[in-house]
Amino acid sequence: MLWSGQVSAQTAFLEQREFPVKSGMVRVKMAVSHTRKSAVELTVRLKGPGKDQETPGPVLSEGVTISPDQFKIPPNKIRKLMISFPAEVSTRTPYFACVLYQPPVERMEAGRLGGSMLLATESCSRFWVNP
Amino acid sequence: MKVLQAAVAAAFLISPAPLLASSANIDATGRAPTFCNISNDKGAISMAISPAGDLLSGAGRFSYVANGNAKLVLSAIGQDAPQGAAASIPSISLADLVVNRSTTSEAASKPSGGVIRQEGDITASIVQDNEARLLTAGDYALKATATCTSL
Repeated sequence: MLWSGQVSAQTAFLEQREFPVKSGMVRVKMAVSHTRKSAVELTVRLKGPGKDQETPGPVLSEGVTISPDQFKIPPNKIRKLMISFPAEVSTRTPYFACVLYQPPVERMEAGRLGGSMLLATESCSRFWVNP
Repeated sequence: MKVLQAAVAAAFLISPAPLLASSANIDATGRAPTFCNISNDKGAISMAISPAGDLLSGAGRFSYVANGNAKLVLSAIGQDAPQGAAASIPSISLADLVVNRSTTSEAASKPSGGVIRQEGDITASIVQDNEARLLTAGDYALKATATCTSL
């Protein structure tokens, strides 16, 4: 059973929300799914702390391994993956595991007057890294 | 009478052994992981010019679901405008949850405080911000990311 409601959106699931640092590294197991009508490409990203404990910060990439980090997945399937990253924390610190869906760009008709807006959507789950 | 007694005794002797008393504890547990998700249900949104030529606007639909405390963030807006265009202000809103009019800062909703399931309009617009009160002719495009975070 997928815990993603009836929304045609992508969801990031974490088995746990607290992770220790072992040998300077954190390893996070997560799963991703979506309920759109057809297969879509999703991108997984790790974000660090933001301006407060509830807001994701910038995307982290240095030393971060996400396997796999980008993939096409049919609807209602669960893709398990692993995020590992180096961390040196002295206090309990929030991180965010995120899955991004970028809708396809639609070309405007030639000569058409106006504009367009493209809104990507991203679902994040907060987790904590403990010293 | 002896015949009856014998029949009862025989019936008792050949009856199956009584079942041993037993019990089974049913211990069912489960845990629903917290999550949130948000979708842009209609893809790219087309914006049309107003009769006065001072505004481009369009609308789409979003769905937002969270089974625990969550919040929404709209990223800083990326705006493409015709070269040399007169000043204008972009705006993106998700119903009454969050609105952003900045090309440099993100905007956040209040935490949901609990479960939430909401559908609503995505509103996108570019309004003139110049003395002529007009948008320069040409193509405009807005880009942003709506992020829900399960807390």
